[in-house]
Amino acid sequence: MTRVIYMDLARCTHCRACEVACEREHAGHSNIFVQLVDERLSIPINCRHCGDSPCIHVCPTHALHRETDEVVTIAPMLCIGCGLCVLACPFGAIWPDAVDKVSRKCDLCLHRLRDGLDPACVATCSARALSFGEMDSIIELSSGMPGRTVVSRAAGTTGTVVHFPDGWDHGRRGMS
Amino acid sequence: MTNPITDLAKSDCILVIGSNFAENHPIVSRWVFDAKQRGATLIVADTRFTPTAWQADIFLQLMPGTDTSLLNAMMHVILAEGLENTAFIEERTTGFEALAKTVAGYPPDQAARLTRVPAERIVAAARAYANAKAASLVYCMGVTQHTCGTQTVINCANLAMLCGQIGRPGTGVNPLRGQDNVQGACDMGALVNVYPGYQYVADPAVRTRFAEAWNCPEDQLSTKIGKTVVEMTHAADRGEIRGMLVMGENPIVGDPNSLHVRQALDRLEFLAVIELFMSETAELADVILPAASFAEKRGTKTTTDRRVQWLEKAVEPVGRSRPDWRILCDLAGRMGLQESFAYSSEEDILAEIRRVTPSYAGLAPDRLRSTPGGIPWPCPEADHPGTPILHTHAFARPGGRGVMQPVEYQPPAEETSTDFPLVLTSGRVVMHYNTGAMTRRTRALFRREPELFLQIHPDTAERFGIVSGSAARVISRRGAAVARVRVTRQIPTGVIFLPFHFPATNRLTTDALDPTAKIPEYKVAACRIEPVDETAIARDPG
Repeated sequence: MTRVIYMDLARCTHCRACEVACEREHAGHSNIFVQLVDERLSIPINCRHCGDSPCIHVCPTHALHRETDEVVTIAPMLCIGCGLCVLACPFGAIWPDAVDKVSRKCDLCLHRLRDGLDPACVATCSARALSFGEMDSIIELSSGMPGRTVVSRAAGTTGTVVHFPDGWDHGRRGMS
Repeated sequence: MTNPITDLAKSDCILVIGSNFAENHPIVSRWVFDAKQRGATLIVADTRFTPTAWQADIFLQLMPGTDTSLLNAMMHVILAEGLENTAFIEERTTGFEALAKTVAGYPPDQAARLTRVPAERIVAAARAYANAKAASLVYCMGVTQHTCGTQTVINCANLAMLCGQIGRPGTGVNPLRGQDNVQGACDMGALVNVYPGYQYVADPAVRTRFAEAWNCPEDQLSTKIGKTVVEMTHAADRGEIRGMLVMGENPIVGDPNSLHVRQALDRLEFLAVIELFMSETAELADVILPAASFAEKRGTKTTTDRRVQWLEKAVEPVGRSRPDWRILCDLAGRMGLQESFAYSSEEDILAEIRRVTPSYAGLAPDRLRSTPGGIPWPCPEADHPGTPILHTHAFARPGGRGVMQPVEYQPPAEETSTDFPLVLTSGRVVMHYNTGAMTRRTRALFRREPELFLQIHPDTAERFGIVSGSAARVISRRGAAVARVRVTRQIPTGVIFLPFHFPATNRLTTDALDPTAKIPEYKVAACRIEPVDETAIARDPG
């Protein structure tokens, strides 16, 4: 059983509460970012925890590693801030921290998972754009709704499940 | 709200007018999206293409202050196409003929010219709302903060009654209250004209009842209606009010025409402020009494959908700060009213609330503590389950019938002119709360929205030589504010938006009041705009 984050893009309102919650859990650094698109759509971006992760492959110091079946993390003391993982990530979900000279990314709130809690971004999402659960059941639930369901990942078996609702494009969701 | 927030999930059509809940009541979006997922139609009427409007199936981009015309035109369509709920109108309402006569004068193509909403969209919205099995109407300060605010709220009720969209799950007329306990504050009589439970102060029978409950002579209780916030400021400026106690408010930032507010507060002989932080208003105070924050207090709060909830404190008050009720009791004690304010706990206060407020009578502390999520009033007896939906069989007035009162369009107090050719409308953003006294002190929020900005349409910006990202000065008849420019098609031409979480915005707004509710017209002021150099932002930081 692998649990993943589920993003229903029909429900994201760019409130950015997930960013603020993440910042609270991670000493002032947010590892999720809500991208605004053309002032009418928003997409939360964070680590997909890909089953076969490009970031792990390119990391010269093995700072990036698979911590559990569900979580890819960075060991900060091993990270030399070379930024290869930032380049390798196909989702732009790893950010360089120029002050501390390390890379930063989502750790799925491993400390909260160990306490039986959902990741902070999920727990905070008012609109329920983000949820957390077992991958297969999420895919089943999401596939029942109108639109497209995609497992977003570079390779491997795990990833983030993203739902693109019908009409999720500029033409249908326009101002005029 | 007549219905619970969760009821929105049961709606087949949700008409949102003057509410940007995605930013200002984010939790509401959860149930709106649940409804949409079931196939409900979402209609959003707003001047700006807000994150709420992004979600709309039908977006009605209306000019500020034209809500009444829009609603009248929708009712015009409903009557012209025979979509009204005849049975509901006959059994539950009065005043239909007068309403029908008035809305006959608002054909959609005519309303389209004033509101700027295309007529076919008005027709589509009217059909969707009237034809839905259960339609909910959600409104907020976009309709209330006008000199015609009360009239527009009446018109929202007219539309709901005309279509029988009230008194059932998924229907209702649902104002979203702004703060977590503003509903409770109103219920407790923190208004100028009522005692707890909306019992009218000018009614001698009510006065007798409260004199008995409070064990005081009747003549100690005034039957005069008091002054609302803006009226108090005006009275202070005239020297009629000489001392003021401000609690949980920051009028220097939050009240309209704020340069005048500052002048009025400066004239006071004495100003005391009960506050968490050194707010702009606290800076003017003679005495500041430190108050405990929400997490440091216990007792009940009442939500926007009338649920009374018991909350325990999470942490002890910091420093010498104390819960507001203890501060008030001590102040009363110094005025010789120890016996009337002899509460020793939050439970004592709730006991009195239950004695004097019939709709709260059944809300015992133990019962509230064992009911997570709370109990919605009216809850008149100890075994009453509470009332999640109002007006199911009758309206709360003599005879039980709802009154339809026709409402004519009334222009805003201040219209544009050659010197002030643009409409300024004000509002909120997701990162900040009210006057920013708390959120401008919260790093994670402030960093994301660190300065006053303005929204302007590209055509308007070009006309006035304004460039996105630069600084501009907005000038009204009352003051000026410098803000960072965001050129965006989210706002129509001829309109400028400023959030009021920063001190400069309300220098510009007008203190013209709605004659009934006395709410100021924050949503419409005439203004002009001019480019300024970057240093102006540093000299006048929001």
